[in-house]
Amino acid sequence: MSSALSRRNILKLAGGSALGFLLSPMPWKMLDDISIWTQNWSWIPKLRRGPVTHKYTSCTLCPNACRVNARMISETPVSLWGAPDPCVGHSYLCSVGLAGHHLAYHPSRVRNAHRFTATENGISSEQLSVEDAIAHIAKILHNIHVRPEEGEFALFDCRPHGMVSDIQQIFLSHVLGARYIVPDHHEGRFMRALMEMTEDPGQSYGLDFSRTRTLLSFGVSLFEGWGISPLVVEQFRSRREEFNIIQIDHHQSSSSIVADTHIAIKPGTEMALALGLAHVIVGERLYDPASAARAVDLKRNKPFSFMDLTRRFPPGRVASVTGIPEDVIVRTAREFASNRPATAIADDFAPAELIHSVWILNHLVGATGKNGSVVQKRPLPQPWKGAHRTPPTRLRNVPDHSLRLLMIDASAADTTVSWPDLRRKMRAENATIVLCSPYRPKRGESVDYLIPIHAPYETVRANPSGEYVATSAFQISTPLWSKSEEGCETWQILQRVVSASGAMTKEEFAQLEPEELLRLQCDAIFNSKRGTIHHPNNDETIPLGSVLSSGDFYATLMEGAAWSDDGVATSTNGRLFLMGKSTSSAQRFAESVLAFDNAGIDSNPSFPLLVVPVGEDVAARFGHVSPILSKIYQESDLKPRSRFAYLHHETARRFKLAAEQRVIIHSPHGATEAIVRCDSSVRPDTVQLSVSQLDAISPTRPRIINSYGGRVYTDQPIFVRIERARS
Amino acid sequence: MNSGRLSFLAGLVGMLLIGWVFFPSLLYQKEPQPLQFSHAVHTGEAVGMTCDNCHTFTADVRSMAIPRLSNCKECHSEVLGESEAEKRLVDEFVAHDREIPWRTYSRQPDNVYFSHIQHVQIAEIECERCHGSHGKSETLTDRQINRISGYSRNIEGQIIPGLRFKAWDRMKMDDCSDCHDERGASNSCLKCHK
Repeated sequence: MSSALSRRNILKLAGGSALGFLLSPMPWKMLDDISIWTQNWSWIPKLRRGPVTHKYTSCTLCPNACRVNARMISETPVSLWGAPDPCVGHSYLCSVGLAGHHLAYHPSRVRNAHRFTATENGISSEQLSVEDAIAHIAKILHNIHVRPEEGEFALFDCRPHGMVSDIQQIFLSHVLGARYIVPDHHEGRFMRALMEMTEDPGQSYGLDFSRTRTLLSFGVSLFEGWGISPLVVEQFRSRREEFNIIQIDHHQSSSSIVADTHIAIKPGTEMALALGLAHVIVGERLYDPASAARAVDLKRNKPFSFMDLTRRFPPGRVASVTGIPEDVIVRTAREFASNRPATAIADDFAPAELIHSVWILNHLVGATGKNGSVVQKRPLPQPWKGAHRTPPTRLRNVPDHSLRLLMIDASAADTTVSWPDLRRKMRAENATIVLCSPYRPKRGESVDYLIPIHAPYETVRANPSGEYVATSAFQISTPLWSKSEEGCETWQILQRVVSASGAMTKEEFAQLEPEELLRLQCDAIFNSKRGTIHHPNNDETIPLGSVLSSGDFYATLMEGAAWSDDGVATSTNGRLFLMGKSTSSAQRFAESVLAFDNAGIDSNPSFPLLVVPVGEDVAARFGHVSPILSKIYQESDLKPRSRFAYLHHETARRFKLAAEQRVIIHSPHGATEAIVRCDSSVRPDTVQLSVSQLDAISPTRPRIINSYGGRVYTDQPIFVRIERARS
Repeated sequence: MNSGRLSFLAGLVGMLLIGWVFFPSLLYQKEPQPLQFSHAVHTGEAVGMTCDNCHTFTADVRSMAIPRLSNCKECHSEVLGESEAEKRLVDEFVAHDREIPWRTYSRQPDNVYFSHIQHVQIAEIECERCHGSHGKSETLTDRQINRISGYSRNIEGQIIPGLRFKAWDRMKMDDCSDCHDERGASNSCLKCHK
């Protein structure tokens, strides 16, 4: 017995117990269960349990205003899906839209106003009430009013579209010298360019793909982005066999993979291809005779007719410039001109001369003013037709160092603005930037005040349709949560700032609530007695005329219905101006074509590779995406990273480089480091770089980043050479 | 056998007993069902019912409903037979129109989206694939809830180390993804974690 209690025996007992413990399920099961337990602590939000319902609303993340079917559990949205849409047939949500209900819970979300101050240790932030922040800003505005020489006051509207932009312009008209700034490029630029080439004043146009047989896309993100994609996706789904897509893209995008034909083009030569196609269509008389008769400058014009210009772009020459075989150019032109209705489209953010050239192709094949192509539409009825508004100024036209106070409306998630470009417009001293956003500013966004506004789906928002759809439409983005007392909208902050500064002279908009604003818009539509209302609950469409009152109309829209305008009888008799309606626009187009014709896009032997910049859209936007999507993007390698240079295998071999090797990219203006990634989808004579790498190798600004598809346009082509970095 | 080996074996066997026998009974809290019920009687030849006679789809068609009292009342408005459970059913629940607070064995955690209609009607998977012979059981066992994780033992697996010998032994994520692989269904994260 004494031996059983010896130290040795106790140790052996412990050893046996330890082995038994390890051979039992106890430690392993405990590890598993405790890891689950740590995910279920009391402070971690729990999904609610309760009745499952569906709520119809619309997405405000981009101007497309997609219809949304929200699956709700106990009045909380848990998933979003596309819903039937009177304009496009059916909305299909993009990846950002699918997780739009996460944005209210984003880690960067703020509920209080903040003041940021630069200190020796960086930026310090101080929390203050919205009222105090507004009082401070109003004081600055008052000083500007008293001493205009101190600089200007401006509002930067990230998405100038619809009644909210209207009311902001009206408020600003009460402030002497105030500017209303809009981005240099934004959605709808492609459609608006058409007005410079037709005779119909005041008409809007939309795209009707319902019968289109050939879609010629010059680098448009048809599937992977925002903008035009809802129109294309629905036709692609419902008429795949007869909807022929030709995608002209300098890299292998999602659109080029899905398209029937991908024409890989040398970056920056798209305009030459468009004019080369026009050359074939005109030369082989494949054009639409009626349209040709309407085009006043097809054969005769001073100093150049359109035919004078296209003569400079025969297929052989275009082939050498674009890197596309001559027979492909001729075949594409014939297919586009013969398989009608046909429509050519370009990116909203593309150079103006490319957009112009693409419209010329549409005119030649008679697409303009035809059902199944480009149709006329009436604008949305406006509530304040005669009100005085501050006219918009493009950011690039604002004089440098002229602004003393800038308010930024960052409620739109789709805006891409270079922060250094914006900062350059501010005065060197005493400049104040106020960001109105639901989220904290990102790194590099040096703002002085942050005032929180509602996140998507937290409040009612007017949601007019995008520029592309064939008829005007209007819906209300109704909140998915019960109304929050916190937060407001940028126009309300602007209203309070302007009122508190003493600049507002009229009381007509004082204390206007978002619902009242929407009612005014509904009144304007209701009084027009046009269009139909589509209710997704029963997929039923009724004429607006059958609705008894404006109040009933408003209530129907609040239930998730959408109003869409009647189509208009398209006039096909107006004159067309292929070179441009005004003398200045015709001259500008001719000059840019001739300049391209003379200079081409030849590389310097010392810098043989052309840079294809690709946007990191998440980093470049004011808006935010759900953290879960950011994680998926980061882990899946879907988006190019800023530290990599993507090369074709042939290019890598030519420069004696291998994958994962550190390299230095030299341009005439500077150099940057990167790691080589080999990708057969990159053209052999190009290198694909992230937009953030351009600062070191190209001083040219501004550059335009299209958040709808991560495409980047630079004012000048950038040529580089690549060398191995010395270790 | 010397005393040293004996001590070692005592420690080993003692801990194995604790780990394999006592630990599971400590880990899982047993919750008896409010009423005994024989699936075998109902699905047997005499009555001939099928699972979906009582377990219908819920209003959102995602889940199979636990039968309501109204289902039972269709046949049991009066006492049928002589069993104690039958008497309690009528006296305590039917007579007072009080729902039976059944305890669910197989509820997936909140972070899992599982649609019964997708699996039963579209993929045509038999109930037995996941629930085994539950439909032929004579009695209802106690529901066992893990005191730490809060999960039901039917989800975590009846065999304590989490081994699976039959398809219905466990209903964890690996089991779902294995079945999805076998049938060529998507294994995307967002398929189940919406």
